[in-house]
Amino acid sequence: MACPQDTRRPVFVGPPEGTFAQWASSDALGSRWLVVSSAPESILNYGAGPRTLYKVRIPIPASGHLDLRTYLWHVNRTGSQRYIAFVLRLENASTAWSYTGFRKEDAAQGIVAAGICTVAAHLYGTLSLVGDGTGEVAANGTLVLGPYTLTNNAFHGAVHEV
Amino acid sequence: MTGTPEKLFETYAIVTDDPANLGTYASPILDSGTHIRGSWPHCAQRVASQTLQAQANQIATFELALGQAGEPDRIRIQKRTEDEHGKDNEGLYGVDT
Repeated sequence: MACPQDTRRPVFVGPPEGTFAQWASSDALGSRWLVVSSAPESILNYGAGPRTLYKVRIPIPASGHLDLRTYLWHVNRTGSQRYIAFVLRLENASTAWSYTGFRKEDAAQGIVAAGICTVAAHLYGTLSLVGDGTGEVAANGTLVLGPYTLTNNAFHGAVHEV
Repeated sequence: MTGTPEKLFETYAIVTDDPANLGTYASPILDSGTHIRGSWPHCAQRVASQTLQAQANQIATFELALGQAGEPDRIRIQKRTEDEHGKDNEGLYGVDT
C-alpha cells in the first residue's frame, strides 16, 4: 500500500453551465459509460463457497479500444474472515485481448481513508503498474488480481485503470 | 485494453471463504438479501443536490452535465438491461438508502 500523496484541498465550483437544451451535442448512448454506486457493496451472511459480487460489462467499441477506470468497494459483514479477488475478462470470448499501461491501487484502510488514498493515487498519477503494465490474455482467458484477505467488518477498495 | 469490437469486457469481484478456491472465476451470483449495494435513487438524489438534474424516472435513467472542455455536454445514464444484478435486488431500488 503506497499512498504518500498530500491530501488536496477541496475546490468549490459553480453549477454547470447550460441546460438540457444542449442534449443534442452529447454522444450516443453506449459510447461512454458512467456506472454509479453510492455505497460500498456489503457482503452479508451467504454461507460458504465462492460467489460473484457486482459485475460491470462494457461493450468494446468499434475501434477495438476501451479505456476503463473502475473503483471497487467491498465490506465484509459475514461475521468471519473472507477473501476477495478481482476478475477481468471478455464474456464468451473466443479471441484474445491485450492491455498496456494497466495500473492499480489497493486500499484496505477505513472507507474514508481508502477513498482518499485511491483518489489521490489517481489524481497524482501514482497508480502502480500491474507487472510491467502490459500483457495479453488468451481466448477465454481471465486476469485475476488477489485474493486479498478481508477480516470481518474490514473494507477493501481499489482503483483499476486498464 | 484492446479486444474484439462488441465483445463485452467484464470486471467484477468474487468473495470466497477459501483463498485456494476462487470458483474458477465464474461462481454463482449472491442472492438478493445476502448483500447490499448502492442504489440508483440515491445516486440520482446526490446528482440533484449538486445542482445537476435528474429525470423523473430516475430509477431507470437519469442525465447529468459533465461540463468539461472538449467533453460531451450531457451524458445519459441508463440502467442496463443486461445488468443481472438489477433484478429483485433491494439495494438497487433504494431499500438500503
